[in-house]
Amino acid sequence: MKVQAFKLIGCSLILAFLLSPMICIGQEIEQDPDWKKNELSINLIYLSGGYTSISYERSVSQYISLGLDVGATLYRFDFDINYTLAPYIRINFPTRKRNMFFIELNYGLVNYTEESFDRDLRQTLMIERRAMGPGTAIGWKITNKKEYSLNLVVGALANNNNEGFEFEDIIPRFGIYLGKRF
Amino acid sequence: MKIYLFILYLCAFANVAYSQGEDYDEIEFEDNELKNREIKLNLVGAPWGYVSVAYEHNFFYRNFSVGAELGTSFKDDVEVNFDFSVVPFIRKYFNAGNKGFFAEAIYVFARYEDANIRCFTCRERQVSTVHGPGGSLGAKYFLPNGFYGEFVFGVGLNNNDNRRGAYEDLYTRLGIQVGKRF
Repeated sequence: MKVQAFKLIGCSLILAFLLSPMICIGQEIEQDPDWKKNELSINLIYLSGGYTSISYERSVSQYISLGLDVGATLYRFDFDINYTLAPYIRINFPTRKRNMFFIELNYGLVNYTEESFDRDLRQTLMIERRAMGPGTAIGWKITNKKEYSLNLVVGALANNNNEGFEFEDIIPRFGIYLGKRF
Repeated sequence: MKIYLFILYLCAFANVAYSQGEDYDEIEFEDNELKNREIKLNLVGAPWGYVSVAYEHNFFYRNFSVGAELGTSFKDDVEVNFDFSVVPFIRKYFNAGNKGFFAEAIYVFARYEDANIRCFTCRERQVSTVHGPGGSLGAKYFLPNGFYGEFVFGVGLNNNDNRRGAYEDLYTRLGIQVGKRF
C-alpha cells in the first residue's frame, strides 16, 4: 500500500512538472494574429449509423484549446447510444502553418440502452446504462484559408462505471469532424 | 508472412515520412538541436492507471536517438495493463533535428497478471512475463519552446517460452506522449 502511494505521488509530481508549463504556453509564444478562437464542428463518421456529435472548441491560445463534444442518436438504426458528453482539453502542435497535430485529454459520458433478461419477470427489458471515465486521444486538424477545418480524432476512454456490458473497460473515441472557425 | 507485411508497412510509412518532411521543416523553431536530452510521459495508459516515463538521448549527426521507458500500474484489476514494463528503444528519424516521423526498434521486458485460463473456477491470477523485440512507427511535433507531443504505435513478438494469457504471441506498443527537450 505504501509502495503504491509512493509511486502515485511520484508520478503525479512528474505529471505536474511536465504539464503545468504547457498550460502557460499561450503567454510565452508569439501568436498568429489571424488565428480564429472559436470552432464549431460536426462528427461525420457515425452519421450513416444514425449518430452524430457536435463539438465546440475555444482556443485559449494557438496551442491550447478547450472544448465540449455533445452527441446524440438522430434515428435508431445501428446504435443503442442515447447521448454522449465529452469535455476536453487539447494541446496543439503545429505541423504546417495552419495544420496541427493535437493531444487530447478528455472525460466522457455515454448514456446507452442495453437489453437485459430479467429472470423473475421472464422477459427482456431495455435498461438505460451509463459509461464514463477519463481518456486520451490524438488527432490532426487541417484548416484551409476560408477557415473550414477537418479534424481526425482517434482515442479511447477508460470506463470507470461498471454498469452493463456494452463498454467493459474501454470506450472508443473516433471522429472525422468537419468544422468552421470563427 | 506477418514480418514481411510489417517490413512492407515500414517502407511505405518511410516514403510518406520523406514526402512530408520538407513541409515540416518550414516552421521555424528555437534551436532545439543544441539540446539533446528529453524526458516524457506516456499518457495512453493513464486513464487505466498505467503511467510510464521515458528518457531519450539524441544524436543529431545521424538523426537517431536511444532511450528507455519505464512503466508501472496503479490498478490491479485492469486486464489490459502490464504490472511494470521496461522498454529500451533506438530510433531513426527521417528529418534533421530529430523531429517529425521516426521508426523505432524496441525490446520489451514486462510482467502482467491475468485470469488463470487453465482453471476457470480458480480465483487466483497467474503471473506472466513478456519479453521480445518489436518495431514501432511514430511522429514527434514540437512547440517553439521545446515542449513536444508524439505518438507511437507498433507490435512485437513475445519470446517467453511459458507465454500464455493476454499477450501470447504478440504485444502492442502504444504511446501518446508529451515531453520536453532540454
